[in-house]
Amino acid sequence: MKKYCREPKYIHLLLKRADKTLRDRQKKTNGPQKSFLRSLSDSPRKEKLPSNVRKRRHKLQRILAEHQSAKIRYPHKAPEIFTLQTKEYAEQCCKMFDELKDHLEHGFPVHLDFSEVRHLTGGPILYLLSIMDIWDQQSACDIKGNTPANPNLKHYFEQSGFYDHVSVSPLARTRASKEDPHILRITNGHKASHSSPPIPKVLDFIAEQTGLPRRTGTKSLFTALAEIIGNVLDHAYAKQGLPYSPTWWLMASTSLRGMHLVILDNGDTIPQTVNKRLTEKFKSIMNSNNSGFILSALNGKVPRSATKKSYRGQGLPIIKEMPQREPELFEKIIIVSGKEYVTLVPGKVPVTESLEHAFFGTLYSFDIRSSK
Amino acid sequence: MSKTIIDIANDFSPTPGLRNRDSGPFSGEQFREERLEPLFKDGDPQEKIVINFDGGYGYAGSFLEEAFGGLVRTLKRNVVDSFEFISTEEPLLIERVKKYMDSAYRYVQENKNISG
Repeated sequence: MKKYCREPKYIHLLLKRADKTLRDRQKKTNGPQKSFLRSLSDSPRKEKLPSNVRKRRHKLQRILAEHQSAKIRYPHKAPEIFTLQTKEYAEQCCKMFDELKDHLEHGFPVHLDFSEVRHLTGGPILYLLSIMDIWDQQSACDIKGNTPANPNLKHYFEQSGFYDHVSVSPLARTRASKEDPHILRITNGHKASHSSPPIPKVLDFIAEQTGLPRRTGTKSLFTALAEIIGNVLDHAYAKQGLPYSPTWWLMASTSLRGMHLVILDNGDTIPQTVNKRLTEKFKSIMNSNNSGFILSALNGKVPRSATKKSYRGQGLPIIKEMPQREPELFEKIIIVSGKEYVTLVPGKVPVTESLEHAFFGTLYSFDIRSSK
Repeated sequence: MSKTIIDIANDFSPTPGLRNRDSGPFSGEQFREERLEPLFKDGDPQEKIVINFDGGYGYAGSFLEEAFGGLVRTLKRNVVDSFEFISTEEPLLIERVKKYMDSAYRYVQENKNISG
């Protein structure tokens, strides 16, 4: 037992338990009725911490401080198939990132182990940057890690532009600075700066890589990107007072059959921001059940725009139609937001699945066919 | 009969933006206020307004809705017949713009009934 107590996760649990004991004691002493009867001007009674709880709390805090000063790094091993392209693998990714968030939240230094990754796509790289950015804005996060052992994946990871957004050794930075013509390096932006993704640059890159005619061949992609950015600005970033500045991230790279384009934002999720009926709001609060909202917004039949205006909320239905209207261009579109995972494939009805571990923000992934 | 021609890619921007001015440059709101509304200043124009959608990178639905649907909401009448649309690169765009204008007119009618 003592050994386990020294594991930080347990320390936090014990600290929480100590706090709960104190709260329970205070509740018993004051009681809800008593506090209701007390005049508002009365200051609440301060309960002195019982000596045994106080001693235990001090001891746990000391152990926690020891761990933090000893810089023990908590290992996080990336799944072998490190991608968000299927629900099964997305679940593994989200689980790993959930645990990572938990450690970062408590200020623990972590070590990311990518050595055994056998398949890697842009989604998890953007998600990692997004999470690091959130916690770095709140309290400096301390993350170290390695690259995939597979040379091709190592090259992909280094050329993705990941190192442009984190502090790394000069050697690693120099190695990663050589541009790969098949990868459009990661770009990001905040709402505050009124910057928007360099859509023409992205579309020209895609046209060049896939052999599509410049401008005329990528019009529906422009529409999709513009709709996504519109949703991010109008809804995902609408909430005020977040402890971090929400950021969007974008990356594109060639894949076996064409292009892979990923856009991610770490603002409010689609299920959080859609307009809900009263019963849906109630269910959502009671069961944390947010499933089906993305699909409903994609269908566009029920007014789902947070603005509550019937002429708004047209963006997602346009995106839903794209694989059906242009099956020669879109191989697959994936939308991951909160606990919802939606797949749009030409010739098939949209599929919604529930994730056990929520995705922090919203990710749109486009698999674009090459016409070369 | 002469025509007023607006070539969006050349006369406004090859990369039109989103709905409102708040969301960035070359928004639908800006296009409506600067290019469309002045043409209706003295009532419906005598000449057809030709809108050419070709030549640019593409259009966000919110841009089109705010520009054309927003025009109907502002004028409180359906002015779809005052326009002639050209979109050879994206033929479905014309249908979508007309749909936005019709929906906006329905919205105007519904709100008129509520307020009346």
